[in-house]
Amino acid sequence: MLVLTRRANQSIRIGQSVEVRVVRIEGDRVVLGIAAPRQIAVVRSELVAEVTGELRDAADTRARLRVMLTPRHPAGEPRPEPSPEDPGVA
Amino acid sequence: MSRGGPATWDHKSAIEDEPVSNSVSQAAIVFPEGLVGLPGLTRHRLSAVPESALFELVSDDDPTMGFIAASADSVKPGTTDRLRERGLVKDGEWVLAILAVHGEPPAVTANLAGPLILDMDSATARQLVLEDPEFPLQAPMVEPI
Repeated sequence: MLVLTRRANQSIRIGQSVEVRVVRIEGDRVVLGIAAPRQIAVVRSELVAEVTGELRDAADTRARLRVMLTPRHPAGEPRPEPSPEDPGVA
Repeated sequence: MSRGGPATWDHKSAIEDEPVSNSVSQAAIVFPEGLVGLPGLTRHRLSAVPESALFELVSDDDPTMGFIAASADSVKPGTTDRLRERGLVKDGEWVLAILAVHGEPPAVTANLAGPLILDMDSATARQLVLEDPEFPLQAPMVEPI
């Protein structure tokens, strides 16, 4: 990993189109300004981890969600699985 | 607004929150970069969930990784247009939000922070990460599913 030292109002450039500027330093927090083409996603690393975690949660709860989505008979029982001969199932 | 989608589906009705046909077709979808944090999951199959406006995406690379998804516009109207305005979605691409169950009593939420962008013409897709409180990670599903 390349490590650079910058002061407030100094910046670095990444490639031809991305600039990262140190806007100010507040205690242990650094406020950054980032100029990049809009097709380049600029996100916090924590958010990427959270999106991955949400994917895993979604996979883990898929079966539960399917049950919640299953239409029920008047008696409140889930509808039986359709047979392969059911013309409505491809 | 151009709306792309698989020719075998009535995806327009899905976008408009009407049940899709019970005759379920499957489409192979490739995510060249995989899913966020899961780069190995590139090959998937997408199918309509019968009697709903929902879809199921299951990884061919890891069948335990499957998801139920809804049109992002059905969760938050105007999402596709907002992302298109930002240059994140092209005309004809389709935006899905993955659903999950959280909490007790269980509530269904939609992941708008990590939407799936599908180009059904090329059968390819990508997942975005949106750093914007307008698109939360766990948006409540307010409409009945």
